[in-house]
Amino acid sequence: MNEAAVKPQTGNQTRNWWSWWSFNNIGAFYVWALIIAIFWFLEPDTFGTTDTVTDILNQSAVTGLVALALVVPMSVGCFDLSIGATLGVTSVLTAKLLAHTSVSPTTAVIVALLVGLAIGLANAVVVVVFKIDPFIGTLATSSLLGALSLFISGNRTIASERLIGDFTEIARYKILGVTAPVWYMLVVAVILWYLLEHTATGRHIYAIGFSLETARLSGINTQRIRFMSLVLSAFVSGLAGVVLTARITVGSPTIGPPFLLPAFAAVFVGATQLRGGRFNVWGTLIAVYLIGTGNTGLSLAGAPLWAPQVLVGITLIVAIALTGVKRSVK
Amino acid sequence: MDDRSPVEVKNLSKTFPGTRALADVSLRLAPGEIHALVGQNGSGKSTLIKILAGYHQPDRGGEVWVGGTEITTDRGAAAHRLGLRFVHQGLGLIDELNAVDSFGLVSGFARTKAGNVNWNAQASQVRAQLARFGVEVDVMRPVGQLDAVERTAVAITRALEGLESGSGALVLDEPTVALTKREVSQLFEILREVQRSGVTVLYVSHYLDEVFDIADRVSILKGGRLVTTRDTSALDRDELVRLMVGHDVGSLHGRRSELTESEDTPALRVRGLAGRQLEGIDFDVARGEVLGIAGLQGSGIGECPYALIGATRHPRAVIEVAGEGAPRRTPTVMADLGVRLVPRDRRTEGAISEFTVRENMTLGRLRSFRRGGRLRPGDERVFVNHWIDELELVPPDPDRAYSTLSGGNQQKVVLGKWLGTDPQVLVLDEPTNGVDIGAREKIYTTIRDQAAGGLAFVVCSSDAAELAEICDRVLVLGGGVIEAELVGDDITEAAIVSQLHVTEVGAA
Repeated sequence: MNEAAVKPQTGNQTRNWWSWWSFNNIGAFYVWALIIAIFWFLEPDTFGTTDTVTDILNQSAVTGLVALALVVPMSVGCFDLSIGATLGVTSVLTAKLLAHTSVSPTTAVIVALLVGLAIGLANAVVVVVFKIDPFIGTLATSSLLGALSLFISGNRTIASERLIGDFTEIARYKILGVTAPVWYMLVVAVILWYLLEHTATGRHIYAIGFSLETARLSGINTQRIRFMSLVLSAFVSGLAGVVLTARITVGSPTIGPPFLLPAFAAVFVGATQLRGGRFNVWGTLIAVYLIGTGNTGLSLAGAPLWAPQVLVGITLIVAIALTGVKRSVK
Repeated sequence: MDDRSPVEVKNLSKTFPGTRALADVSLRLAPGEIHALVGQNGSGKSTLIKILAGYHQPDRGGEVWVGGTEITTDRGAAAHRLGLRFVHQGLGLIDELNAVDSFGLVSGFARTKAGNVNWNAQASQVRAQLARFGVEVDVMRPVGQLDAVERTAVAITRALEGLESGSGALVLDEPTVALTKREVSQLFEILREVQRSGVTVLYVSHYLDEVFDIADRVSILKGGRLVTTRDTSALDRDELVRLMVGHDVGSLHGRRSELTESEDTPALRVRGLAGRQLEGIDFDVARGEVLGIAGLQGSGIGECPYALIGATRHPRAVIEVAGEGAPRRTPTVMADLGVRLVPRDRRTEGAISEFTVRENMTLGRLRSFRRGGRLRPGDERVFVNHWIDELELVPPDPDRAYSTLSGGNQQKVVLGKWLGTDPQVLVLDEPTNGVDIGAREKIYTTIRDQAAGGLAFVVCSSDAAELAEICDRVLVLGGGVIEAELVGDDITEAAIVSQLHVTEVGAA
């Protein structure tokens, strides 16, 4: 009876070339272009240089990794609020291992990545086995992880000569003039894109996110996929923590949490792009760079310290409102 | 006595996109009577009630009169002001609140001079209201902890609050679904008190025996039209069933005749299926058989399809699929065994609105479209196009957004999704709910064709005509057990309706 009231939407926008370029499909791309144009006009001497371009590319790579970490759990319908805290833990842990023990950088990195994995398992147990709402569950683990960061670091910034040595190559090594973190981000992006768009698991992930009940009644093992999604997000956030430490050459308990909101803003903006309402990898990366460009532009233009947070907040609201509109099927 | 009817509708029609739910219904309640409204599912009862409640706008030309005044705008509020009250099936109570709060939520709280709630005054007011109809309940206890009949009484009394005595009308929608036999008679005591206080009652029920117990007159709806209104004293049960069913169409598809106990292992063997309402039912479904399960709300029919595919927990049931046991049942396990469900709500359980037709249809067997771990959309399209042709899907476009299809075509997609998995048993729950007539015919022929090919079907439906048309055998559920079994030529719409609408509620 009510079926006739549904609106057309989603799914097949990419079918013809013109509609692919429509504002509806890749609006954030145009907004990004507009932001570049504005800052270029305002600050032609500083903004329009290759230095700034590579700067923006490099600086946003860690945010990009954290945002990518969110794409799978969000597609599954699991909020993971602990990504920032996870990043914080692996960051201080890597720094601590290098500064206070004699382990090799390789060992330190491997240990940190394994800890990221373990955090993911813990999150998954809380959410899937204990059946706690992911929003609440990961909020709680995020508090525990914050405590763990403080415990490891003793609430101090960890610096050491060993953090400036070979270890920093993880973040400083350049390929084709672009630093390694950008390549990590791209590798993770390609893997996740392949998973989501070209595998049965990816289709199951979206199915669960859109309708858990339909997916469950279709015989899909929904719990296993939800479990996996949280392990995956913590692992990628853990990787981001290691890369960040190598980039800034210190470990600090305060650096993790600020990544949370920009990452969420990016995935929500990403969901409005390209795939018409689905969380997706490339839309997310466009959004990360939109926000990154805006921030760099603001700081070059001498905007006050609070301006970047305003940008993130507004982006988040606009993006969620737009995602909601695109998804309003019911 | 003034001749203004408490509730009267004239030439009421309601058209939804694709269906006419109500067609030219005129009905006039006499002051002070209990008037029953009966009809099968889809006959238009709930549409009529929703129009009275102001939830639906009737088509142009229809009139609703309450207490001698025509209602045109702001229907819900106007009807309430003129004395028309409703108790809907869910009662509209909040379990955690007690009767005092429940009344206060609707009609405001008694206050002290300081402005805070005067709980004592409020409680005694509520007690007095309940006492009017001979109801005694603990007004301080959360209603969720009260008996079902006490809850109903609270809801009725609350609905009637503020009516002048000797006036007003109450619409009761299926009030006995959750009640035991004893509770039904308690409820009837209360209703007679309500009637004595001068309130006219419109009583909607599926249980025909109740109609004869409580109602003065009965109106019968069928297919959106008013068949007739009769005095219950001048009517018997068989006659009422005949009026509800009308002309019996029977099966258009030819049942299987050789339905003897076959020595083959059945496609599905179910023993002791139990749950919240089901109390351990046994049945077999042979290969190529279409087994119908009929039942009204509360009979266990609601959980039956979910129990069969392992979507609910049932430690006691024994289920075998083609001879293979399934001790730990989950939807995943049952799917692997080839038992699939087409749920009654295709939008939230059957399909994914945000997906395309292709993505929905292949969701049940995605792994077969992989080559080297990678999904091949081309292979998916070949498969989907086959089922689009087979089911005559309109438009025949695999990449169409599912949500843009009509109800009938959406249902075909869900059906195709499972037929394509080569299942052993297909469980259908209300398969043609909200489906247009053309799609319905297509779905019926598809079911018969697939059955002829050896697929076993379990069709759970509240539509007796549907079961009569497509089933080889029909089980009638009541109170969680199998009340009757109809086979072959005994399967008629009238026979099913007659078995269904027996007062067999709970175990009492």
